[in-house]
Amino acid sequence: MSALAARPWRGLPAAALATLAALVVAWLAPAQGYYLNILMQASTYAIAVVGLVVVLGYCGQISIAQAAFFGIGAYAVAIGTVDFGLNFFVALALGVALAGVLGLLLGLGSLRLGGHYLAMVTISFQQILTLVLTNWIDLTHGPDGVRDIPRPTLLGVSFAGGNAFLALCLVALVLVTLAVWRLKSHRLGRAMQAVRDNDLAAGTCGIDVFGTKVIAFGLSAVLGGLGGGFFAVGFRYISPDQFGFAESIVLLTMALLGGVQSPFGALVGTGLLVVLPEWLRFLRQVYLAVYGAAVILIMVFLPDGLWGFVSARLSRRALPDATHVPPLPLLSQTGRESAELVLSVEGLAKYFGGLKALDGVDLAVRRGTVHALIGPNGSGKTTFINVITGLYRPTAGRIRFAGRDVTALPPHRRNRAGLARTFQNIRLFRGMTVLENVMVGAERAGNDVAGDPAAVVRRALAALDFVDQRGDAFRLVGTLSYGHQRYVEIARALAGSPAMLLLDEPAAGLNMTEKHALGLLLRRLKGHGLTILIVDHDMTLVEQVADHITVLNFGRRIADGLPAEVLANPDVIAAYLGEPRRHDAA
Amino acid sequence: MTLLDLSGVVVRYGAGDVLKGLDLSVAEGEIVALLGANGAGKSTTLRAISGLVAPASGAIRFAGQPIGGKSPESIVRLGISHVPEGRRVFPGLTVRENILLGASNRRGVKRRVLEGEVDAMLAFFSDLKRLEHALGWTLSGGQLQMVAVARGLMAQPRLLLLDEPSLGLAPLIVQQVFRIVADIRARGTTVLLVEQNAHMALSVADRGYVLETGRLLLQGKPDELWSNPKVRAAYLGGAAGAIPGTP
Repeated sequence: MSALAARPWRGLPAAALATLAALVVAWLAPAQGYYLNILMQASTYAIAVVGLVVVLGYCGQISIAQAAFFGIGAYAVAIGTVDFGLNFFVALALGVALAGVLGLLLGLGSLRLGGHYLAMVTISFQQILTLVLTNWIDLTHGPDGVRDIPRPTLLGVSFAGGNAFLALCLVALVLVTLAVWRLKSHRLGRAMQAVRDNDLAAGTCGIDVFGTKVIAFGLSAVLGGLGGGFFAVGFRYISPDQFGFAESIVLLTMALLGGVQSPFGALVGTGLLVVLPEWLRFLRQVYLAVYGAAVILIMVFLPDGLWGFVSARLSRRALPDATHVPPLPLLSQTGRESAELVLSVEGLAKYFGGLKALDGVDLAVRRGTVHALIGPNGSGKTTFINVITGLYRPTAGRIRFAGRDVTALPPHRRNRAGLARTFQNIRLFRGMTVLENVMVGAERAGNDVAGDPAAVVRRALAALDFVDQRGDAFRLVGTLSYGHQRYVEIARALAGSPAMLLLDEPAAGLNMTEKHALGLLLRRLKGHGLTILIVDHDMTLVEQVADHITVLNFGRRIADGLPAEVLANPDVIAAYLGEPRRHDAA
Repeated sequence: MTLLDLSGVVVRYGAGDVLKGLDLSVAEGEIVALLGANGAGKSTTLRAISGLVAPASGAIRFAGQPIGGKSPESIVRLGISHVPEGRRVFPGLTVRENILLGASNRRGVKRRVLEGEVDAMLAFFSDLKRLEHALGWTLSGGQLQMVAVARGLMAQPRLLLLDEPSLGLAPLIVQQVFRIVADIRARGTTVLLVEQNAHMALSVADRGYVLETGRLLLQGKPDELWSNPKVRAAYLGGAAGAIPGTP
């Protein structure tokens, strides 16, 4: 199937079949008792576990509070219907909304915290909720829990029977699974995965990293609340101990066991962890030990989970797409150098404690030129690019880009203003294919193709065409050689139609022929009017492409001017080149 | 005497063969350069020798002993040290501590002796001297590269595998690094060098191999390789030029 075809119905036929299967299962299930309970538990838990796939699998943020959101949904429905006489669906909507809002608030914690610190915050949230459920007796009925939760009626159809309500739960699960599966290849889902794989690069590709994390937490909490709401009505009785820390761990284990990268993994993991204890019951006393050992073995030998293991073997490698796509819009422009300043930097300083990485640097880049920034190792070149693209806040100084002061803007806002970059130590999104990486660049907010999925794919393919990497479009980016990854990074930057491109050592790791080809490519880009700032140690390349050179040493500018003058400057030779450039040899 | 010998080495990542039956040998005391385009299998060759990937077939012998498929630790103990591409410097340790760690295979050598060698290494890389007590995470990319090379040299191996030592280094420092490569050979270490900077690599090497998509394309002395128009065009840069250091 062509990657170019827009497929708004994607997954719907399978979902319709799954719905049918769900109805059959619900119809065949006993009306009450043990097996109904097992099915009810599996389907409602699975909705919450699919939520974990969003926050942990897609966005890479660990949340150990899913049982808390599950509990919020459950209690909203229980209290709403029993004590306030609300309709189930109204109470469910309130519960889901409350869970979502609290999820967003928890996500706000990711502004300052990451990794295990954020995990600690989610655990604290989980504990607070358990305390509230247990001790706010007037509202929650305390440790006794809420009983006799009524089952609803919708449009004259009664869901009072076990089979009917199970059918409702399963259909909800199918819809949630479909939505989360589609999210993965949606712009938002790609942004989440980009944040997971490399948050610095995501920011410089125009993704609001913090906002994306907050949304992931919110979505995950919504699904937690939804599962909980169904759970409460399914079992008709809830109590605080069902939504404790231990249950959060169980939900997390289900996600990891099944494979956290896909909602199908969540289904597999949930099904297994609900059913496995039942299968193992005949073992009596040793049952828990065997159960624990089975979980450990799966984790150790199938680190991507059961579904990850299966899907890796089932996945067919998509064939390279030969469809002709229109070339990058940049290539239809002709550029010429102008005196207008695209980037102007005044008195830029960045101190790390006592280390003055940049110490009052002035630099001006004219539109349509290639400007090279060179200097010894540790002279502040990469720091300069990091400050310009917003990864570091400057200690002092001002940065003007395309006529506006961007000194205070975060990385994704600078990218939207037209500033794109590559990284010295390649920062690609390693869990994604080459094409997906470049699509992230193409769909940045403000780009002409953003919002049109088919156009985003075409633009990404055009960028890959330009750097001649189309043939690898469907490979995981990490499997490419170092040099090809560099080209993918350039394609990702170009797909966003930047006004200026910052390249941090693009030639590192390329051999001389490849460097020469890179030089030609950069000249071509310049010929089409793109402004480029390049940091590199290869003087042959710098001479090949640069219109202007600035030299840094110990965070200060020691030379600035035309290439011939700068490279003959005795200070530059002493600090950097070692010996004068010999033009007769080349 | 042949120190390292590869015959028919095949390495497979996933479905594709990265090395498709490579033959290569390095004599004791030589500097041998391994050249080729990106993705030709140069780094993989070094990884196979140092035990980081196991060959699917073929033989790797070091000092007459088969080492194919052995663990990286046991191969280090036999006297092979690998300075990989990408820097892997410990961020929480100082430059001095990072370099000293390179000698951790040399049990029984007095700490005082090793500290002296670290001093010599710091004197070699003049840029590192002033950073002696700086922590790893504060270094720039090029400085990390210098530390990684210095750490590899501290192992005093019989065979040193260097993967792109000049990556990301300023021209002045590149010149220093290649002077050091020549110097360590003079001290008795054999060097197998993967390098994109073919000018510099061939200026210090005794022999060179050119790989193409996992196979040996050519081998020979630097001037033979340099004067082969096919190699020049494909791998060493289209522009004409003499070997640096020769008139």
